[in-house]
Amino acid sequence: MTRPLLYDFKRTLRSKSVIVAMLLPILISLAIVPLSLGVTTVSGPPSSQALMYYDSNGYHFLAFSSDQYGLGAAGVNYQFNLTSAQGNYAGTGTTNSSGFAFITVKAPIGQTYNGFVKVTSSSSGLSGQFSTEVSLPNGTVVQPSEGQIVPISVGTPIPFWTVQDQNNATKRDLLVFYAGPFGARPQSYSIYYKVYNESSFQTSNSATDQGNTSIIFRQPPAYFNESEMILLGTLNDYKQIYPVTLPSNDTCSNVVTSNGGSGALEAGFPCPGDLLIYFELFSQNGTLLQTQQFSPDQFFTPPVVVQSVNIASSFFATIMGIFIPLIAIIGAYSSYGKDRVSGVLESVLSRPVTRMGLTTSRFLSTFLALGVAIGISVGAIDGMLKYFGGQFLSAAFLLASTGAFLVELAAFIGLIFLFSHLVRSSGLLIGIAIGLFIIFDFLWGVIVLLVSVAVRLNPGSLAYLKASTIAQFFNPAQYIQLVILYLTNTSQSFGFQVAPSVLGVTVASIVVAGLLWIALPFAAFLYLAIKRD
Amino acid sequence: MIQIQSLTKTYGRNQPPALDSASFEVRDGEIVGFVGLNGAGKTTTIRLAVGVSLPTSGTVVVDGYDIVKDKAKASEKIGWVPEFPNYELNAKVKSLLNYFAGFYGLSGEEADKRIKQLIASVGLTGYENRKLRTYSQGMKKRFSLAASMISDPQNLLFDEILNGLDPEGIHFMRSLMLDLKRRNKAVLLSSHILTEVENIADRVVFVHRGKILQVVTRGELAVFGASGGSLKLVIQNLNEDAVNYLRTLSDEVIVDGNSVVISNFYGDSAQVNAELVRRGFNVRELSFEKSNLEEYFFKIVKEAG
Repeated sequence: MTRPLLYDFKRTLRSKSVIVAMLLPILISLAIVPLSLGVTTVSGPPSSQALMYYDSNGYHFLAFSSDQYGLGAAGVNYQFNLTSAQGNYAGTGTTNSSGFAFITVKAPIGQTYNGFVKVTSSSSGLSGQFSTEVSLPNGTVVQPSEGQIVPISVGTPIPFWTVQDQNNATKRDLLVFYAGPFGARPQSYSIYYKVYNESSFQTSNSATDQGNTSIIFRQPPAYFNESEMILLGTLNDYKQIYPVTLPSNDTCSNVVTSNGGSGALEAGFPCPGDLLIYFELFSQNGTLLQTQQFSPDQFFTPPVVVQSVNIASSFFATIMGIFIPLIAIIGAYSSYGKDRVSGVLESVLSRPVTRMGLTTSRFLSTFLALGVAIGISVGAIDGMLKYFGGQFLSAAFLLASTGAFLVELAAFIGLIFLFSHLVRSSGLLIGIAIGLFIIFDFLWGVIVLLVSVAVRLNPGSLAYLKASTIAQFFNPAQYIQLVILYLTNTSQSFGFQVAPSVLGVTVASIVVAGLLWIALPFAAFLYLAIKRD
Repeated sequence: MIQIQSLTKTYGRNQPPALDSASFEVRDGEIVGFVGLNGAGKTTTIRLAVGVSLPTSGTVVVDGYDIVKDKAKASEKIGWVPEFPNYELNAKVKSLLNYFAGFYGLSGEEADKRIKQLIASVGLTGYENRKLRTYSQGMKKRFSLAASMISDPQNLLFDEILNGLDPEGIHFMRSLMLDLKRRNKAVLLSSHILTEVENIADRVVFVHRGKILQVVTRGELAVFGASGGSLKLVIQNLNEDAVNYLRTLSDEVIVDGNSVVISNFYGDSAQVNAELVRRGFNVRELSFEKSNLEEYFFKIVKEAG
């Protein structure tokens, strides 16, 4: 039976209609995913920073641009302008393949300039202001010494900032960008860090997180001594990336955010009562050069993941939600329904195979072939999210979504196989298939609305929301929506924001519904196939 | 051997059975003709026998295996050529045969060898990589024949396969069936072309309105022919006495010169010849043309009402 199963598998997978139905979501995702990611700027413009020092030849700038992984971004243009009462001076440069640009502005030294930097790349533009003077922690403003490195922030704090870990979608690493005196490559600079509990420090002031929740900020000491800290690594180049291992259970998940939901605070806001991480950069002779503190959530749940999941959720629930039933219907019709109603199947049934063997084999081969097709579609979409957004979907999200698609697939294959035993003509079967597709995919909401009105449920009420969610259990085309509702853990309709469990969407209900949608149409089909001509 | 026992098939509650308690068998090494009017139940019987349709009651046993209970084993021993070949038209002939071969557990190599041999034997060499869609009706029938014999089954059921065939095709099929018979295969041939059935069938099963009317052996057919046919004589010294004698043999005697044709002759031609010689007549020619199967068929159908 292996060869016939393989033949049916290949036949279904090679079917032109299946190939078209499989390619359509890929092509649509090709159009939608980059567009969506472009709007939400998941990949974002290159991060851009610069360091400055001066010598007798003028002011020198070392600029660095990187992508979300901290890899150098070439072709980013920098323009530095220094303005003083005595005149204006400018210098421009473009980052090389390593993401660095070395620019000199031949302005006379010994003056205080107002600086302006403009950064432009093919996808974005940034600008920032700086001064050739340096503000010290004690509040005094001094002219840096000759050759002394002064960081210039162009939207991103330096010398420390976080970048996406290339191998772990849920993690961010620490990028350090710095230079030695006179722009020399750093040698044996040390990066230390310390994880400390903020509540152990004195309360210094308070702030309000966008009006909702009062958060007490506590002030850590200006810096720690090296002996109090842990060595993260040494810096031997202008830029290096360091993975940071943080204590678990500290992602600010228990903090109420400004919109009333629960989740991480905006980047930069430390979690009250939680841990903070303090980073310090020392020169080879132990001089403290730079300090910066981070909250732990800045090393978790990078924004790109949220964006990809949002796009994927929306795409899977809408576009794929339409195409999966379509692929299943077309595939099931071409692999079994058509043969069944036209009588072609009899040429196979006359072979040494039982009815159960033949029908199960056709079901399995169709399911496997279309499952592969869907796997390719989902894989392609995930690949696009990675390509355009720099991030694969999480394994859990991908598995759950693919599982939901497979349930929909099995349900629709079963239904078409079943109906092919209830009708005798191809035309009628096609009509029923189209009818199922339209009802389940397009008219379901209207049907639910009409039934709800008939039983005096107020559309817009919580009861209606519950009823429409429960109705989704009875529609295989909307199974993915239940799964995504569970995965994203929110339901926001008609102004309600309720947990999925309130609507009856739990792991158990999803699993039971999935199993029933797989088993019932198949069992009914099998009964007719075995017991009736 | 195919044993059909009390086979009944009803398609609807309010409809008479398409097949009503049919019983007969097709033994190894014989060709059984299966004749009946359109809608008599021939195709229904064959479809039940090959297992593509389920009987309402009764059994079909193929070489000891029940076609319903031991479907796979029974089907292994049956080849079926339907009246209207209905296959996946977009499939290439060779790959479709390969697909079918998979059901019989033939290895890839065995299947390739067998397919090549079959394609050659039905005259489709050179067309094996074409899609079935491009085949003519005749070619489809040949393909169907090849598909039915892919496992060299012991039993073959041919449903109206002679329909639409040209003389060469009919000759080919006749030779094939006789060859199958020589190889001790059991062959059931359903056909409207009764002369062909008459020519090659060892037994003929008559079916009418779902019922088996009669199963007649070749010998019984010969007897029927002997007792009902046309006797033609040329008598050199034909006279009134001879004619009078001949009129005692049948009501339909036509005399034309020295020639006499006796229709509806139910006697023994040899005895007639002996009697004429005994009476002193010089019989120069004597030929007997027996009643064909068609006549017999209509006779029993008429009797059945």
